[in-house]
Amino acid sequence: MKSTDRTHKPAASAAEERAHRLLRRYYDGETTRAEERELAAFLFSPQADGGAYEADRAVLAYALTGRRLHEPAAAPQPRRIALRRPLRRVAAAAAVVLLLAGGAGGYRLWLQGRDYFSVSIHGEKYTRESVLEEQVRAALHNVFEPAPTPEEQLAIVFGSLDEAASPEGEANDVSFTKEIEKL
Amino acid sequence: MKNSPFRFVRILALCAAAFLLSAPAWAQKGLHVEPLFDGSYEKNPKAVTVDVRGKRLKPYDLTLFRSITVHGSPHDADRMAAAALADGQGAVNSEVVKRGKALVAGYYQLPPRDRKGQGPNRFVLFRRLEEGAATLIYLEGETELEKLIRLFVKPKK
Repeated sequence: MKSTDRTHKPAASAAEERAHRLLRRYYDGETTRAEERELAAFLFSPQADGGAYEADRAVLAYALTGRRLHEPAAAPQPRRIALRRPLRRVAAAAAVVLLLAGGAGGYRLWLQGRDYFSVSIHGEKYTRESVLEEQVRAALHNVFEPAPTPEEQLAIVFGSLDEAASPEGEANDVSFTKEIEKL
Repeated sequence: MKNSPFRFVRILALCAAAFLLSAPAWAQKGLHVEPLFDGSYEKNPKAVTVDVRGKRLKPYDLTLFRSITVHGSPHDADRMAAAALADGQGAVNSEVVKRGKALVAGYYQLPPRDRKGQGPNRFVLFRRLEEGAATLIYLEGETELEKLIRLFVKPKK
């Protein structure tokens, strides 16, 4: 907006002279925001009373109102409470460790819930069900139904002779055999 | 949320919860037999290993079956015996055969890992076979030692 041939009374003071200069710049579209604020402060002050600046006040008020309506308000900066750097690093490391451990444990739980079998015989893996059944049966047989070794047979024989007098630990062979027979 | 000062605390709490929820997965942890079932015997030419879990074991009220049998390896047989004996110290029920201090056969029922007594019972079964040979079995399930013995031991005629 080009400066109009507006006639104002000659400036009575330095402030008025300044205002006139700003008004010329304003209508030429050259003022900065700070200059506009300075101009507005003058136009709305008692110094500008009297009607000479009525039109200028109206134009500036209209422009400032329009700007306020259309420009978004700056978002208030939230207060940030920053943790100290070392504490953040420790917390981050702990979170990673816990997450990894939890993930590994969760995988094990998932694995435990699934049907799964693995058989290896002398270093070779086998996947057949029949091999699995055979080896499970063999392991249980080994543990529960072993044929007594010659040493054990002798121990049973001599253990039965000493059962009444011997400490509890040495008579175990005989007592254990009797327990199994009861079943 | 993005600018919350307690963001790290919340993430840490979530991770801790994830870790604690997975704790039952580590039920075998803490037992002396646990390192023996780490898979190292699968490639051992003197060993036979079995690992089973799932519905195959349901008829026996078991959830996990693991076994290792070694032949011609006195060191491994002794190692298995020592682990079984050590774990047997905390047994709630047991049947044991010893020759002096050496373990010949041991059937141990261990309490659940959970301190409240919840969760499956654990069983460590061990038997020495001939010289340098032994079988170690680790079981988990909602059953008792007597039931297992009755189930797997054939009655003598």
